[in-house]
Amino acid sequence: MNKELLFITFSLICYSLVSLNIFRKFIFKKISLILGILFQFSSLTIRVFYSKHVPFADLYESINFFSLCIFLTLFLNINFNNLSKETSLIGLIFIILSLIFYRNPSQLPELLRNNWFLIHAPSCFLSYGFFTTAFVSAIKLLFSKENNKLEILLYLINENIKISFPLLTVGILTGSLWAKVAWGSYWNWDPKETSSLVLWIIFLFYFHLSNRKNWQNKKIALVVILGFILVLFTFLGLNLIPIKSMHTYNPN
Amino acid sequence: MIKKIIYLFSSIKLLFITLITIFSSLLLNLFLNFIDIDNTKLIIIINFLNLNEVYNTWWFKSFITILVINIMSCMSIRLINFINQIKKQNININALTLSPMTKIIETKSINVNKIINFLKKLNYKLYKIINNESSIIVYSFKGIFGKIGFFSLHFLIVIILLLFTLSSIFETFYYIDLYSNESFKIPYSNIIINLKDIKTQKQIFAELLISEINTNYKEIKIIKGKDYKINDTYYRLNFIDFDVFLKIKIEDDNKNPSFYYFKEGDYIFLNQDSVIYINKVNLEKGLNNVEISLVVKGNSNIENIVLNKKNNSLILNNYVITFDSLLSYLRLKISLNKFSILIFISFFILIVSVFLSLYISFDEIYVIIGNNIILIGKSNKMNKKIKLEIEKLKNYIEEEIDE
Repeated sequence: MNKELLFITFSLICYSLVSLNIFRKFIFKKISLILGILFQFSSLTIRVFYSKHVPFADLYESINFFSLCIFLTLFLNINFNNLSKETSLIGLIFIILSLIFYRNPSQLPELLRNNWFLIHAPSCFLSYGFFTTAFVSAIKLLFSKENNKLEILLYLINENIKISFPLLTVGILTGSLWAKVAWGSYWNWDPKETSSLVLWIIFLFYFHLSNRKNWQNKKIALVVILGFILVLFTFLGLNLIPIKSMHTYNPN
Repeated sequence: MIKKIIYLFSSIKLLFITLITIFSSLLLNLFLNFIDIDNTKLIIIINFLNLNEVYNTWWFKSFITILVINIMSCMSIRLINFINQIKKQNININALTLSPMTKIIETKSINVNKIINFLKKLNYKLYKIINNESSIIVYSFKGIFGKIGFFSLHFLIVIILLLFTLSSIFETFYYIDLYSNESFKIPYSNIIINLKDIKTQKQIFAELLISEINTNYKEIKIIKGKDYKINDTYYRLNFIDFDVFLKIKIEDDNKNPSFYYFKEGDYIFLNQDSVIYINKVNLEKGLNNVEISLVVKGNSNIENIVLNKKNNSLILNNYVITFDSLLSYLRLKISLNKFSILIFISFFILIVSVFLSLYISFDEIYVIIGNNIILIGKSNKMNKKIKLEIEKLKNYIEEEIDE
């Protein structure tokens, strides 16, 4: 069996243990998550060793890298115990989805051989990762009835979005600088560019609305959920639905 | 009247309206990219409002303008307030009472130590005590870093939008098609570009000769996907696309040669029975080792034939078809943009100010008890969290008064 896929299988087992909430003790959960991250990281490192390029060039690599970002953000989260079950479930779904698109590593396309790519893609993926944890908190907030929990969940949403927003800003800005170099213009109104701009406007909405006096917690959760739908659309929708875009992971 | 206009343009509601319009029109534009509409009435409406390219419409641009005016007016009002506060060198309670966080509790006497202990429980430290009026007021006040961060963030968004507009108005660019050994003089300049060759080995790159009149020439190699500065001017070269034409010699029955240029996907009609289709031009081994795969129909049989350096001719119904040479062509974008450095700098400062406003910014929370103003602490918590804690503080103080 391919070593790369073997490590992914190990990581799948570790993440499943976190997701199924098998361990009662916090420390075992955390160890299982760390092991999963290490296995997934090793799998991507093996791929880098063979492909000789960064591990987010094709659809398999990028979905896999995105799921790694989700688990990393979960690991970095302050209130790990509160979100571990649901967030790792989302991460697991993405790993399984990535395996559908698995193919042997190929040469890096000409256009991607650029230094901006090294900052642009990881910052976007990390931003999406933090947004995923914010989304899980928002879903929990929407269905939570305990008043004590509401405060914590609201705090979690805000802390995650506070990290996600600058990362997306860095992603969009480096992307536009790269576009100037590669396509000759800062902004080309490509569907992916437009949808990430819409996502950025949703962030602006969130920041301006969350400070309003009469704005309810559940409405904030709805804004975050809307944002996550757009994250999925921006990241995956453009690749799964046939559309003319310069951002698709088409090898040709 | 003027006050009303200022109030209208500096309101947060206007910001929300413009953001919602921009957001929904972009979303609609995205949605229309995915679907095929058959209804003619809908198509007329879409074409009338130009919904397929919303960003080029006058109404979208006017909403962006409103957004810019809105941000600018909000900023200027806040800046005036801030300057007034600095001038007075004291905390202006009248200005701060406008803050939604402010709570006022009338009181005569209270135990200050008890309140301080309660504040410690909320993880606030006592910073300073200033004498003032005889009532309890709890309010939050944005710290200096927060103010600078938020101000520069909003200011730079406006600046970047303006720079983009200016660069789109004043940027001049040309798309030129250069064939092998052809040269092009950039208008209103003394720069001449000459295409030497295009190579497609590991990377696709073109070799250019750039010369300025009366000065030395420079040989540069431009790779697809990277842009190049010409001789420290604001001119930039961008390798957009390249293509190759096959120069093919066709000799008929009488051995009269004639030359034609063909591309991948072209048909060569010799007569009614003989047709050649150029299926693929393989450039992977470089331009000197091109492989041309052809689909040849002669009389009734169809064959696949590969032409290359060794086997470069084909005989079909008394016609001799020979692959003569390759004509490469390069599409180049030459742009002149004096704002690019400014855009780079403002992007950098924008990222710094995002971090400044989100992480280094803080709110200062004050309590006025009796004759004392107490700065209870600084907090980087979200406003809702601070509001909840102020609510707790207010309830505690009220309970203390009742006792």
